[in-house]
Amino acid sequence: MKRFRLSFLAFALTWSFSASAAELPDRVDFNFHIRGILSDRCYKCHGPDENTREANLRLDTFANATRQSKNGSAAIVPAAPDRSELIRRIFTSDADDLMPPHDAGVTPLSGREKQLLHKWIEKGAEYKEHWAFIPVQRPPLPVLNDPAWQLNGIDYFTRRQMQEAGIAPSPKAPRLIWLKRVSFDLNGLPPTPREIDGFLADDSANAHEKVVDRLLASPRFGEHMALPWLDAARYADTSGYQADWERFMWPWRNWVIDAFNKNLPFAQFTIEQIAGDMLPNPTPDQIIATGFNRNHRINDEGGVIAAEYAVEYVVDRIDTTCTTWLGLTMGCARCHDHKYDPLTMTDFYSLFAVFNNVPEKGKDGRLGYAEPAVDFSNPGIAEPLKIARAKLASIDRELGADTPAVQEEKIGWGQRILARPNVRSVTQWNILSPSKIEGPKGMTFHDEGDGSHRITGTNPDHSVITLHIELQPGTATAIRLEALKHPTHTHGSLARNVNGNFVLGEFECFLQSAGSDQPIRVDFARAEADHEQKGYPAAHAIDGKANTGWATESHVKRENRKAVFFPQSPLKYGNGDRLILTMKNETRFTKTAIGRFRISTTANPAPKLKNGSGVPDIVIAALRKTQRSPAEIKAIDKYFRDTSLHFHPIRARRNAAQKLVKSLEAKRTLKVMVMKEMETPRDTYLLKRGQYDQPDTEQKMSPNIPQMFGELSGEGDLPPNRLGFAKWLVRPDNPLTARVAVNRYWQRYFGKGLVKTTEDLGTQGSLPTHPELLDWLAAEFMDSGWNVKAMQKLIVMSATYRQSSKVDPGLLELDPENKLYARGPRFRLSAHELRDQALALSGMLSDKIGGPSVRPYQPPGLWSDVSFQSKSRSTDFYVPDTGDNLYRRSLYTFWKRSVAPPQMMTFDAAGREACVVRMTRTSTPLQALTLLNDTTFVEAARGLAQRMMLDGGATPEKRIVFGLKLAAAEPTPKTVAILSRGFDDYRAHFLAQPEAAKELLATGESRSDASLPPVELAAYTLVASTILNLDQTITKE
Amino acid sequence: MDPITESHLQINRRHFFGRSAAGIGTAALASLLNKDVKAAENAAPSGLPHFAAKAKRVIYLFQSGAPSQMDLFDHKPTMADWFDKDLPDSVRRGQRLTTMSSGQKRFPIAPSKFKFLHHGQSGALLSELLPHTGRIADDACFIKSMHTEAINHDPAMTFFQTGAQIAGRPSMGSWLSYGLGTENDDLPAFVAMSSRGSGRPSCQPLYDRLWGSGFLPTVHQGVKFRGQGDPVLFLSDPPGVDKRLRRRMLDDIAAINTQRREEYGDPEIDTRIAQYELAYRMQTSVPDLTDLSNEPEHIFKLYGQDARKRGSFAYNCLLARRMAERGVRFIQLFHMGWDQHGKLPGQLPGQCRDTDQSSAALVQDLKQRGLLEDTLVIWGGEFGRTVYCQGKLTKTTYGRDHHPRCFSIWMAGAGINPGMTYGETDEFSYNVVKDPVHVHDLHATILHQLGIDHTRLTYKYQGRHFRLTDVHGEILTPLIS
Repeated sequence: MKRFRLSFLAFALTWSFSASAAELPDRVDFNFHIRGILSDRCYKCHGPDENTREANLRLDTFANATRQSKNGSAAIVPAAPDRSELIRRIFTSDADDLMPPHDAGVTPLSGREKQLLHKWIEKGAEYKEHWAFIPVQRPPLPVLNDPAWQLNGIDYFTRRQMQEAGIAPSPKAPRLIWLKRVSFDLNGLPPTPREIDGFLADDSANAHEKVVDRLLASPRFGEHMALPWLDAARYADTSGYQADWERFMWPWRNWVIDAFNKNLPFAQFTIEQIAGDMLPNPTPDQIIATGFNRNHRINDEGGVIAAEYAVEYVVDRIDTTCTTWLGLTMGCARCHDHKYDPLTMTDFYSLFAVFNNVPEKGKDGRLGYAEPAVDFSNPGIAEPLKIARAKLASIDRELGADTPAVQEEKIGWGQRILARPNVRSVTQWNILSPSKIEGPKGMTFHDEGDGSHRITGTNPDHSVITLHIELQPGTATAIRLEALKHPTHTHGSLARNVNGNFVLGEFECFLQSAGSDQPIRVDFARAEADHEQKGYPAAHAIDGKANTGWATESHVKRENRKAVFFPQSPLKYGNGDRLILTMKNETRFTKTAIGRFRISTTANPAPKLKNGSGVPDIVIAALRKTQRSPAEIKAIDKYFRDTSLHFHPIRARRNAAQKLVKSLEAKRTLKVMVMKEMETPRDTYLLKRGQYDQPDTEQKMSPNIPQMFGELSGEGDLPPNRLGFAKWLVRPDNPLTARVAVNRYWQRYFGKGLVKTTEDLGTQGSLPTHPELLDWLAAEFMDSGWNVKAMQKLIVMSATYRQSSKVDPGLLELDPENKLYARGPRFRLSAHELRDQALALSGMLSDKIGGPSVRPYQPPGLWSDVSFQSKSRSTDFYVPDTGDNLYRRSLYTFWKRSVAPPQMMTFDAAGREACVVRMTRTSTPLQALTLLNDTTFVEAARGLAQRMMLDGGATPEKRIVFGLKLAAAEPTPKTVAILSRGFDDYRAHFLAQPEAAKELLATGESRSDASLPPVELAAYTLVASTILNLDQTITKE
Repeated sequence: MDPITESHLQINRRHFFGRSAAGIGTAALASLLNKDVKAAENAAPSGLPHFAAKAKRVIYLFQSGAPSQMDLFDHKPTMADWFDKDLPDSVRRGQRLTTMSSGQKRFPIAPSKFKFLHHGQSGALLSELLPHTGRIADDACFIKSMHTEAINHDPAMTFFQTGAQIAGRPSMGSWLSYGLGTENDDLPAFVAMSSRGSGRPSCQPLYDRLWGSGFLPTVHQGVKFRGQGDPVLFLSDPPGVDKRLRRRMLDDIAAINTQRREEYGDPEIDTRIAQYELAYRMQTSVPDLTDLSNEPEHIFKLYGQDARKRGSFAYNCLLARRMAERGVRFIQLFHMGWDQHGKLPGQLPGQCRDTDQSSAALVQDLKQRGLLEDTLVIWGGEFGRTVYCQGKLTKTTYGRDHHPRCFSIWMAGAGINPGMTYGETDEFSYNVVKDPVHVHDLHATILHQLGIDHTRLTYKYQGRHFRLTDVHGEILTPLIS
């Protein structure tokens, strides 16, 4: 293997330029020239996938490609192209014989590709293992003869390839340009004027390093590093399918930011996100970290078949994890063996078993999370909640105060209530307290102190409850039974049965005269109730049938209820008489006795069930009395304070304060989705054609890594589960993880990876432009203990990175894509950087870190145009935030998957529906419209203009120079002259039209500085907007 | 400018302007179009169109939510005798149902309440709810044998627009933008518009991905033309800024950028300068497009007075014609509200009132302007609806659940056989019995009419050459004249 490898590396030296030259290279290399052709044009029918293989020929292995067929021919005969069937078939003019066939759906071979195949076979048809599947070995630094230029190891490799191509590196970038470049690359923000002045004045030898160390130590570093990680993790604030419910995964985002800021080693960063929950005694943070694999979309559409989507979630985890860590397109092996890489369906479903053991439902997500989830106490809530509660308490004290004015008010108030006609006509009910209650064995009754009793103790399926009430002389025209709620009842409703719905089978009444032991039955004429469940009227409680009864659907309508029973003639009784009431619960329903009940009677000749006055029964009853119990006094007082006009303004304040407390309490704890293992592992089978309902029960799978990389043997630190998989990812013999990671870091700085297809390091991916450099960086990364900050520092401290991005026509012609890195990177800032830059330059950027997502400006209607338009769903109507939340870093902008923030999408942000790791940059007119006209950017221009006027000096020229400096743009005399003339023009315009100036300055929520003359400020605002739209402002140079 | 830079600029411009149907010289609206010179590996494919195109553009009138085929197009007179009888198992054949009706004890048949009438020389049978569509019966081709795979809206709509149920693939329009570029100077190549149905105003949601570019560069995503605010986001200058000021700013930006270009030599700066110019042109071309004041009264008679109401389906139809005239390649309307799980007889007339007249008017209008010859118009939803009733069935009302096994659409123009009906379903409108048309087949056929071999319009992503039709798709040759 070692010898093999050296030849690969030696070869790479001359590769990058010979590849684009018209003549054939001296040596044709399998990895660099041939595999791409074979895999792209041939493997589809002659590759690893058995099911689509034609003519029993595979060209991905030497043995198979050179095997003789029955007729004695072979596809490839080493060193004998003329006898190789492959060569005959690609050069033939016979359309029927031609390979690849016209209808194969692949691009035909070019002349050069045919020549390459010919030459490769001529030279012996040597096959090599794919470069990225060979474990990383640290290559030695090349020996160079220009020690002055290189600053660190990176430069040895880039410089050697420049030398091979006969070109020199570019000069160093001007210091200001480098400072802007590195500030954006490490913190995502422009340097401040102080930072600029400090660096430009610092002539110490380590001035650059000081800047880099400062940027790495800034909390902005973690935020900026988190962004591409969120893209890979398809992080969003909504569930992503049809209704697109809000979810709360931002605690996971907090974790990521924090991990970068405290420089958690990448190995640990990996293990905690994949399997933090499976570590011994995991901390809450380590469990939150596993949210990585719960950020996928979750479907809650009405008709969804849960099993179908449960499979999709697992597939998403495999795709995302393999792309993010391994640069492998594992999803290709879901339905068939991979057509290009040595990955089989068995490999895929072994990984499936790794991620399939989560206790989740396929249809979920309506509540802001989907199981499994953990409670997360929201750290930002404690303080505001404390303040809100204190305020509520102070209002309550005000409301409860017994000042002389209040007492005075109360005196007349009670009389006025009783004098109301609709109160006067309210039936007066007298509560009767039983002297004895009998029930089945084990059932006991608790006196609630308000005349009601509550069943405690056992609750048998069926029961008969008898109440004995000692009477005072009087009359009763009706008997009222109240069913009352209690927290100990099911759902806090009216009964203790399975769902809280009582059913009263029979209600019977007996009158027993003093001294008699013979109760006489009282027959009822009719019964009424304030609510009757369909089919269960109160009349069923007096129909003599045990199996019918009164119910009030109290399992769903959890309200106190009452029924009134009217005797055929009024009851008259004297001293010592006794009323005996029986509640029979003997319907087919079980345990449905009324949990808490109260009896009262009335002597009113025309008793009414309903009160109808709006004043509660207890208040009327209490006001009518002269002797009141403490409870009654309290009830009166409460009603007084709740309704009297005297307290009206205080109550309004109390309502607002209480609403705030409730909303904060609701946010105090969140459910955050995490990974979790089921105790009994779920069976995983290979799914035929990848179909969720087609398990191949012959093929039960256990968790494992793809076979080409070995296995999770269960020994040592590789248990056959998710934790073993996580640990395998970061083992030094894993050939991919470190390469994939450093390749993506490189992309951050140079706009493209050393392997351009950062999502695919497999055989179909691009080849590395600098294979040794990639391996050297990967080795450095692992040897440093996966030190993330050190790796960033290494790259930005290189001479390669420090070059100017100016390009002369000759170099541009030779290397249009900057594959040789003979100049610095130059490309447009990302969507997030552009908005953050504008906010930073305006002075409005909030420096708050972490927390829930925020809703900055967005044109009205974007969500509601296409949503269900339900007022109760937080993602159907966009309500912008106010204040500081409008100016948070774009990392925190609320991400609704089905309607992503338009400013972000216009500038090529990843859509967050699926894992994205490749950076793209396009240039469109919609981008120009956004930067010129979006409220965010217009308001920011005004902020920048204010800073120019307040801090920039006295003259327009000085202020313009200052504005350019803030944007780290070059204040050339010509630029300043152009902007100054513009300023004069704008000022003249607004002088003539002062109203227009005011209109412009009114853009956005913040108010413009009133100390500044509006005409001037408006004119500077347009100058500032011009600066914010300059190519050099929006470009990392 | 030195020769080498000049030559680079030339190359860059070719990318920048894309290929155009009219050949060199027609400037294309840049990367609303396709341009990313640095992504040479995935530059727009060469050799397109693969053969002579019948269609220069497509107007897709997508009916979101799934219109009921047996109440609109697929007449099943014998069902009248089946009222409230159970759907035979021999018809359902264990087919999977959505979980909205799979728990029902019975699957009683709900015959359509609506009368059907013959139209035109072709004698096409259409529901009484579609009298205007009847007027174009001899121009349209009705396909009654569409079928699809998904059984719920989100995956089915995503499948219809992108050829895959799971998000991440490019939509039809973005494939065309990528493959064919644009044929206009100052408008996007791909436009999407949405409107609410009056039958069921709050359903169903739409998602950006339906006109998104998936893994293609974002320049290919559909530009949403909105029914409120700026028709294109951020089109209007800020308050207080008039055209002259804007022009001055743009001139200053261009002057300073040109200076930077000379110093830095990066051709991307030229692109940037051009994009700002295009943005400025759009600020004129879009208002000009949406200004209906010069449309004569007879046009509003044709489309219906709703066409005056911004954001309505009829308005969007009229706008679609104006876009077609201006060379927009793919114009997609989404009309919501076709999800009649219950109260279908109450809701369907409203949906048809929204769409019937203006859809027919669009075809007639294109025809009289000679545009129908090279404009492909398509009308239809993401799946069909069940013949059995969802929920309570009465003599007066019924509901229908989602049904992927068959549904109806119509197409007109651009070489599609007029006055034709294609495909048949069984007497229950449950299974296709003749000439099935899969969504992939429809996609293949649409691309074919545009001069594209659907197997050769590919984009390499994650190591694989993706296509709109995945690995499927048969061209519907009997439909093509």
